[in-house]
Amino acid sequence: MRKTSMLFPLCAALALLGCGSESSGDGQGTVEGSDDGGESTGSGNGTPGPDVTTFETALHDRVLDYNEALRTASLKLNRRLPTLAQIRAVETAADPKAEYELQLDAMFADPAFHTRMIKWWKDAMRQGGGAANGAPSRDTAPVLAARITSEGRPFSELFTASSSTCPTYDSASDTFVDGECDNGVPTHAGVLTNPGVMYQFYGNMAFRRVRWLQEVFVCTKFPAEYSETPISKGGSDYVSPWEFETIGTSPVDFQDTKSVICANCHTTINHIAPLFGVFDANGQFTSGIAVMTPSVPDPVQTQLSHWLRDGETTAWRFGQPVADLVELGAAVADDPDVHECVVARMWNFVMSKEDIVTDLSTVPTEVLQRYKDEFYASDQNLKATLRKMFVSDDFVRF
Amino acid sequence: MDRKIDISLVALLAGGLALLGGCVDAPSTELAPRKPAAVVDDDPTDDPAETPGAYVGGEKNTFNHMSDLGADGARDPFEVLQERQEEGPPEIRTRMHSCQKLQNTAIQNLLEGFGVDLAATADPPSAGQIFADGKASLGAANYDSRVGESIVWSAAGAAKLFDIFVQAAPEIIANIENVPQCQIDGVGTPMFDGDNKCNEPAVSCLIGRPATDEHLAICNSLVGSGSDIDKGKIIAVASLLSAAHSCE
Repeated sequence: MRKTSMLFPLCAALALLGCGSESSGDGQGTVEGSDDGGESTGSGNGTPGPDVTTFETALHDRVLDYNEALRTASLKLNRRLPTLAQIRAVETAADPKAEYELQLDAMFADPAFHTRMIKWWKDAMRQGGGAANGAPSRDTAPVLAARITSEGRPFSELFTASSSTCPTYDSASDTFVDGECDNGVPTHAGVLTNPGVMYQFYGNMAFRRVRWLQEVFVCTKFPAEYSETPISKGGSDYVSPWEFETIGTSPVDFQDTKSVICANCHTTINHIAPLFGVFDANGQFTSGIAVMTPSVPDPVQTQLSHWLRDGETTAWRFGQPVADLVELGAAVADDPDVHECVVARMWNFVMSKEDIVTDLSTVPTEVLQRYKDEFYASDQNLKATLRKMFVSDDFVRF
Repeated sequence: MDRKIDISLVALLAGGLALLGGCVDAPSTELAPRKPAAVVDDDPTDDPAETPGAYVGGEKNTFNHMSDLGADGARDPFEVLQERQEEGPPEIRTRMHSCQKLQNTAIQNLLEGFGVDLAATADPPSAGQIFADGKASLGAANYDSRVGESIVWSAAGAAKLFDIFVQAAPEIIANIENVPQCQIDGVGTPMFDGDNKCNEPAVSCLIGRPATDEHLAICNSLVGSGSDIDKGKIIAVASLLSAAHSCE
């Protein structure tokens, strides 16, 4: 299931790439060499990839090195080199593993871990920067995530916390400071109601905010949902489980099938977007819809009917209706794909991998399973999950 | 198991190409001839929305899709796929360390830990000046464009880091004995002994791991490679730092 869900977005992305080149006219979407067939393109101009046994040998040839692990862990967790005293402690220890773990725990307890996590979440969330010129701070959402991580609180609070959802970090005292978001939201839902997030990802019909939620916390691009029984639409497969006609047709025809099946993605997106559409360009909560629909000749204020047909309600996924952002937060927090995503992101951080979405640095379930087990056993404690990764056999071998 | 990965990658790519063919209603071999010309409009008073070919599905039913959350745009998926495949099957490659560049804050902390004054100015520019002016090439985040800090080196960034280490080396050599980073129980070791040989504790501190005989041999060799001993020492320290910290 998971593997399939990773394959489809890529296939769709490849398809969209080709279609996009038709319209953009910039040539960037052109698939050169596609007539070579999938195999040759994927393996690099037809040259066969290295023998698998080469990689197996490399895996088995790794050498246990607690001093190297100490250096790497120190740079990752505290963004500094280990001191000579730390190096010697591990080097000369009767039990290097125990000494390494002692040093590791000190790194997790160091305030430098707080600031490292703030930066890590800024990069993961693609936002940062203080309040300026009337715009809200874009730091508070990453700080909230870093606080939850550093304090070992359940990860689910990232989407369900209703108070102190805009904390700050006091570098002088190395402490997180409570803070309430002041964007007029009746009841907050963690980062999902954060003004900085809404400001940073403002865009037409709130689609960029939906993509942010999907890509950062589910770790895949759209489409996100797949029916077990795809049907043909316009000569291509319509794969979403939603009824095709649930989404709007005007001013934007989301049921269009001329170039791509828009509904493969937009049946999911359009059921979420209205919830984010109530935030204006500054991330302030409004009583109505505060985003625009790109129509010709001029953009118009989005109406609910632009996203959904009459009578349709908002939802996180097919069969999971959510009436408001609080319910959305609960649904997101409860989604196993979201759990796997954050564990995979953490693993990629630990093992120096690139972005799981942009760079397709996906992690097989069998590699992640033990860390997912720790995630659940520790009540979604990311710090405990991270620690298990840093003491893993894979991390301490080079 | 590992063969399965190759097959899955091929199947994945083939699936993508199949969809690709489907969406343009033409065999994949016809993609190139169907490539549209760039939309060029020299009249700035024209509404871009009215430019023929500006949209996917026509003027009334289209939306300009962003290829990535960030303003820099998405990478070529074929290029990414090729990279991943060259790294090996996912069950193996994900269990092995990759090479991540030092984060900019880590570079700053590293230099400060060795006693480098990043606020110092000089001509040619000091290490601190190069660092401050070169953060973009070092892959700094650009959150306004929704782009986080890079974790991979660019050629310019790697070269910049070596420049920084070269300029920082004299200060490091002068201070390493006195910085807490490189002391044990308050006692430090100079970078070089009276015979201009590299001291093991100082080298270990520089590289963040116990120095081996090979490390010391390389260091000593580099000291002798300069046009004079002092320049050789600078080259030795900068080279050790650059080589040791090319990856986290």
